Amino acid sequence: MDKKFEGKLERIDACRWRIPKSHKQGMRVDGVVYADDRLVKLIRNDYSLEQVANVACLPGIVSHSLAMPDIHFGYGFCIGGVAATNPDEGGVISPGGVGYDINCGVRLLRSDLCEADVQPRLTDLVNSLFISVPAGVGQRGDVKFDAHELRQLMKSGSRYVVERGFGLAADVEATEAHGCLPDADPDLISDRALQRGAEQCGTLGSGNHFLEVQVVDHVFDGPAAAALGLREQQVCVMIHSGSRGLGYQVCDDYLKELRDTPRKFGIDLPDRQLVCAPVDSDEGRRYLGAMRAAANYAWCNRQILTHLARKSFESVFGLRPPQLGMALVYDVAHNIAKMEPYDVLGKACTLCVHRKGATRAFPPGHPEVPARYRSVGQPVLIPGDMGRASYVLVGQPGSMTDTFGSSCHGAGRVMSRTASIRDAAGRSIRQELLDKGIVARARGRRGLDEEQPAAYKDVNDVVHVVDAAGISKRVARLRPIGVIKG
Amino acid sequence: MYRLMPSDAFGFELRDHTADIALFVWGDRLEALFRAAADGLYAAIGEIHAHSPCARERLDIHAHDTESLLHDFLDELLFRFETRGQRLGDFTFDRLDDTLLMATAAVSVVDATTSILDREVKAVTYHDLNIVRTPGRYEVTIILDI
Repeated sequence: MDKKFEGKLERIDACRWRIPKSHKQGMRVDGVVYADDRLVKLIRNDYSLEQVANVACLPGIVSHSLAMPDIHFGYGFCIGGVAATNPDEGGVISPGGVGYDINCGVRLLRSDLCEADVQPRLTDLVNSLFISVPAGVGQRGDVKFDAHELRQLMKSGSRYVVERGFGLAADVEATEAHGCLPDADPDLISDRALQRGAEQCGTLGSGNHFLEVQVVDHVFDGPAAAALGLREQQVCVMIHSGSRGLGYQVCDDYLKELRDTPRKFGIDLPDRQLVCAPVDSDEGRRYLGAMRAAANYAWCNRQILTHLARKSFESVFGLRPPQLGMALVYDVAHNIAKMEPYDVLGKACTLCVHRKGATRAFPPGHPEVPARYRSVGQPVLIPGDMGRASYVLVGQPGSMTDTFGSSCHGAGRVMSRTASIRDAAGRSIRQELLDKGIVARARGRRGLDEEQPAAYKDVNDVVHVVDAAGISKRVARLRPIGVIKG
Repeated sequence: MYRLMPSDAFGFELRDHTADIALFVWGDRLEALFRAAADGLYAAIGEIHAHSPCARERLDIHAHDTESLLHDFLDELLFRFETRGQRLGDFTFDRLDDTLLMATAAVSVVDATTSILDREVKAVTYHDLNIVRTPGRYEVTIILDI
């Protein structure tokens, strides 16, 4: 997107900027962007800030239209956007506030292996993962579900595939929402979406989706790391994937279905891609039911990928599961809309919180945080780019007061895919990664070039902002040693 | 990159779009625009080689407006590629107006061994989807979510 944001940004503090609602007619609230001085210069270079202002026009929006420091341009909503609407005040739900990849998210597995255990077999491990984990364009999974089974798993979430041998009960407990959004309605999923999803559950996808073998490089908070079962030099696996073709089709179906809904409800939109419906309407309930079903499919997808990763480790190291200790630390969604309770000006409300490229970050004490993490806060998993670090954070109290329980989700692109490929011309990104000790395998000609580190903001900067802002706190930094991309 | 067909003035170009791909398409007639858009979609996916056509099939699409018609046409191609491994081409449009497409297409099975697949196209978006019509020329930029 060539257009830049030309409006005024007012500094709130070292980590936050305001787009005043006077910026644009129709804004009901201010926009608030989480960024430091360095990041805000990058953020001004695309049109994402105007999208923050557009979202501020949505009916029933509460408090602010928010953007995390990894913000970049998206459809309707920016990526990195958070918006909560109040159904009791005509608040809307918008598919653009969730994204095409419904419940794209991340999970982290820890292990009892340390880097010294893995390094001698790293190439074998990466090759085994590359063979075992379906990834890339046109790759179909080995696990196939018929329409009835798909509907079942969309209703039940990751528990469905765990019960069929693809993991452990403990995995479900360590997943956001226990891997299942209630009130999912698989009957609202089109045949087209079912067909797209039939052979893709248990596939990684392409683009910026990945499976990484990582090493805990640095622990920032010892007690929190201990609570999460993390320690320095420990080998972990991070998986980034979503709802695959099923989710993409659900979004597309409902963008079409809701096309005329704003006009029906007298909603004036500055951008037709903010197509929406009141949460409390038939149209809104239909999208919510379908979105939940697709989200549950995504959790099943990541659960099967987890199973495949474990099998590769077992095979390469000749160790049984108890010896490997590959337990799920946590699984977070970063493209989703959820109904959550918040206190708004002293009144208890249930709000529709859109997180599009933003991660839930509940603080210590929150009842939805698993009991064993409740003293430290909900794990927040932030994948960086494949050449740099990923982070584990925990939610902090500031998230509940300031960002509707939300934090950033990753590094955010700064370079288009074409520019990234041009920048990589004549270079071997694979060799550059290898020189850093990272073994990478990707399907497709462009995979590594399009996703090279320079294409992204520096995740260290992004995480610094959310930590300094008090919405989530660094626990550990992980560096990749093995990368699988589609 | 672009491709200009010698028999009709139509073509496409893949352009930058931050996290995704913009497919710029032009044609001297609406049919040409649709043909070029199909070619462009497949080019965005990669170098797709297909076996000889095994059938001709009908496509009947009705939509709200021409942009939606184009979206739904490309969505059908994407769906068939992804779920059936098919590439459609050699379109014959029996009818193509602002809201109705009636066509036949040659259906080929994609050769997975020789095709080079670069990108997974998640969706054909509606982002800024607007067919610009001037005398003798139609243009549109289609953002593909990848």
